[in-house]
Amino acid sequence: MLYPHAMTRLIHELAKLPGIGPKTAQRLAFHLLTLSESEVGKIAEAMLEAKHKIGFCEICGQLSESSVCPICTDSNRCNGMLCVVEEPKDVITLERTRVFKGQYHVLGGAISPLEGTGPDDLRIKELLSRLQTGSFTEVVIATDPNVEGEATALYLSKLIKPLGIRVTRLARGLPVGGDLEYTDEITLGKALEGRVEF
Amino acid sequence: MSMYRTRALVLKSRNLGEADRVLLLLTEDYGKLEAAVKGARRQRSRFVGNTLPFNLINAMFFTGKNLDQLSQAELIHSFAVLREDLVKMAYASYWAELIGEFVPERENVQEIFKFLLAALITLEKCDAPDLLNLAFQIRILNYLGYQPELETCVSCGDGSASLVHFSAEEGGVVCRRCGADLRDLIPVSRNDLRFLTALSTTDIRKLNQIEQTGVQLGTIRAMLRRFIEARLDKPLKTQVFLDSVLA
Ligand SMILES: [Zn+2]
Ligand SMILES: [Zn+2]
Repeated sequence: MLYPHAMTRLIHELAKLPGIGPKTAQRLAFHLLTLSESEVGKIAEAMLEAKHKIGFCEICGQLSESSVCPICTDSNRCNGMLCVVEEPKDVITLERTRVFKGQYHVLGGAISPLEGTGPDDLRIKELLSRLQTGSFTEVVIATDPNVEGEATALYLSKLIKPLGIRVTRLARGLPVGGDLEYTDEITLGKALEGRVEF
Repeated sequence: MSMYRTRALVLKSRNLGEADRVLLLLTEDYGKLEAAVKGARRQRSRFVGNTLPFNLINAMFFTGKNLDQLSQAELIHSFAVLREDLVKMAYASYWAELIGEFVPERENVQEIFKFLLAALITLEKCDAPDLLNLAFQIRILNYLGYQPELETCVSCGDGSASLVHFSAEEGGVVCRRCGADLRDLIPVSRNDLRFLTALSTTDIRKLNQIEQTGVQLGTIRAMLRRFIEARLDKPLKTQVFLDSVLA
């Protein structure tokens, strides 16, 4: 039996979300139909509001509701330390550890020669100009502990060291070949404390 | 569902969905193939650690509907140096892309497997991989039957005339007369051509012993690069990265 048009459309749109296959999309669509109109309205509104209000911080590249994010405007976090991560979600993951008290820089990905992502596709120029004008004394490289993350870390250390700034990398102990996102807080906190000189 | 085992080199790894990875492998007995590693991004098992790019593994696969699945990976040799040295990584990535682009899937290419393995072992210990890379390029082309013509003019077939130009588009050297009608020519010398031939026959551990007098390495680099781009009809993605780390 074919679904009514509106239902087909809803399933089709939901299936575009990452990790949602046709079966899950169908289940979600049926669930949405059982909710009250106001509940469905809240979900739809939240999606639209996030889309309208959230952009990227001009300084660090993190998701932000204002042109400069709360971390970049917080003078208590100007301790000379800058933590470089691949994705906005990595900032959230590191903030949960409550170990790091400095500022962040989001690259927007990692160097991946085979995928064609080179240094020019990342926010590396922005990083260098921050380092040249700012008062940073240490850069903590917190890219993923996989091949792309390591390549990015190596590349950055080569660029930053000549500026006379200390460059450190999250300590090993993180699962090799994994994603930062799937690492538990304790392991990540330890890795931050035990970071090592390049 | 059937199962098969072979030695394999991991060429490339990409994410699939939220939790899985897809590997591109060059296997000894089943040629180039893609295989999924289920849950690779969520678990920290040794199995997953063994599937990093450039590792040499004893692999066991299950055949799947769309994609075969890697079910075991026993590490034979980890080319860790190639992941820790940016320049070496750039070369190894370039080779992986070259094989990914040129070698057809699931064809018996044991010779290429053995050559890639030998080249990676050499790269691991090599201080100046430039010559090794040039030898790698010309030999992969030879193995696949794409070798450039270096003996006679590709346009008129004359072997006695002075062969003074290389045309990537035509696929080899051209004589002075034919060159007049062609564009984008690379000027070459007898020494350059002799050197390129020597690169394809000399033991890759002894490339430094090839006579380099009168040879323009820049010319050799340009010939191979443009020849490969002309065969593929596009530049390689890894070339950009290689250029940026060598700069
Ligand atoms: Zn910010
Ligand atoms: Zn001719």
